[in-house]
Amino acid sequence: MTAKRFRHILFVAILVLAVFAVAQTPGAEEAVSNTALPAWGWAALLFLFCLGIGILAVMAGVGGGVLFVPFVGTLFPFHMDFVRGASLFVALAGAVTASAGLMRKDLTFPRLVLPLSVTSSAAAIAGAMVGLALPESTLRILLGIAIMGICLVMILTKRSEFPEVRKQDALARALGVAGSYFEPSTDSKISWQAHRLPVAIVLFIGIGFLAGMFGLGAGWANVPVINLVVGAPLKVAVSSSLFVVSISDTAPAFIYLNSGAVLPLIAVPSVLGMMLGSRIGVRVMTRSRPKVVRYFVISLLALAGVMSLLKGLGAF
Amino acid sequence: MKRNVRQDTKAHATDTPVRQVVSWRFFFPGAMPRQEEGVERGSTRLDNRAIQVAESDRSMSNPKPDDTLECTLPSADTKGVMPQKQPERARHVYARVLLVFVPTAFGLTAMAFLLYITGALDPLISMAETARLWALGAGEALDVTGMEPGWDWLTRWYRADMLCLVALALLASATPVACAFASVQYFRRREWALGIIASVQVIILAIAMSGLVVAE
Repeated sequence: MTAKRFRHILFVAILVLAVFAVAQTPGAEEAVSNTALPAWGWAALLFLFCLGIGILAVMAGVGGGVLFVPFVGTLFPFHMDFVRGASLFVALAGAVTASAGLMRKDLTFPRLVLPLSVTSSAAAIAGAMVGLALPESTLRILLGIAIMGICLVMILTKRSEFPEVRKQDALARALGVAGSYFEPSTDSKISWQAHRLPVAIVLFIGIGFLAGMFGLGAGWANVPVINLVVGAPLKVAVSSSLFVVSISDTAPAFIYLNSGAVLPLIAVPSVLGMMLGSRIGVRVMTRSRPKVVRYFVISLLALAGVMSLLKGLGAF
Repeated sequence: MKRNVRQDTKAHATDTPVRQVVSWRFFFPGAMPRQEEGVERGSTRLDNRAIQVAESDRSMSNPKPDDTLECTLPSADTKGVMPQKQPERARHVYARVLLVFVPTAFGLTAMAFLLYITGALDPLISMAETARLWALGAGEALDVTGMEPGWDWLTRWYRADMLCLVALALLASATPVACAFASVQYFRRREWALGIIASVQVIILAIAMSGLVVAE
């Protein structure tokens, strides 16, 4: 790793840790009510923090939502309801923006996405209702466990650039779930077809439920399922995952909004910070090693998971 | 130079039968022979262009699952001479809806937030009050502010903080609206299964948006 790359990662890490230090200063939560740090100060801090998360998320190839909930939920003095509400809008904003561009590049296939997003969004509504009904401490414990599980999924799952699909299943054939796209790296047209679509639909029920319950974007699970189970090429899987997130996160986002779990002072700086951070991340990404950053982010995520678990147990 | 002239002449020679195949098929799709037969009859020399047009012709009668090459129709301005490759209509409409909604919603969000933090527009809940609310749960916060679950935030859109919520809701509304437009396109193309799936998706999102399903 060159010194320049190291400096980039170090800068982002220091930004994240600085916010961590401010947030964990003894009496930080009391300071909010005593207005030692004004509300706009927290909003500005949140904006900077999300800027850092946005950069890291893009460089590590993970969604913003999965980093946002454990970090902000643990480091900031916000109730988990508002953190999850803001996180859904963060994930939604990123996914909707990316989907529009990917559709124009012929990389997103509604035939593949719609059957998956229907079950996912319905399950996400149920997940949101359960998540909003659970006590905060229970939710933190479950989130900690879920985040550690996500870390394992991220480490263990291998991705396949062009999976081999010999025969389509009946549902995929009936819906015509197949397609082709132009691959600039090989200067050729890649044709693909799907299989095991019913299995993926069932898996997306669970993914949607977790997304609604914890306010996560769920790209960490969508991509392996679409890539390894359905058999779509990796590029199609990533773009389809964003498309699924843009649909399935809409449902719980409105549940949280209508339940009073979205505060503009938390949601808007988060969305704007994350969007700006991901744009910067795209530029920095070309000069960094994704694998190194990915393992760095997974380590941070595991730390956030442990902290969430300990906070839920009252030990942090 | 001579070579160019020869190439043009060759293209013209193979154009005529291909044009006949496409135009006949456009007006009498049921009465036309299969496109492979058309290629063999129409052009004694099977050049690339004839094959290309014949392939486009086949996709006209039997839509392929391939989303990229799916909707291949003769364009009006060329009067059915050369079919043009078009992306799937539903996907095109979906992308256009997102491209209208998303920048509008982001612009409105930034503007509303600016009005909120500068105090140019009065908020319903002041920032100092918000700092006390964010440590409470969503239900308790609603009780403290006296707001009702559901669409109460929309009725107070003239307050800066509620305007921010309206802008965020607009951003989240992009997908259901796009899905609704896409389902219409699928039904128009008689792709019933996808049309029904897209409609079910719209219904699910509409239920979530309605405010009927809220956590008390």
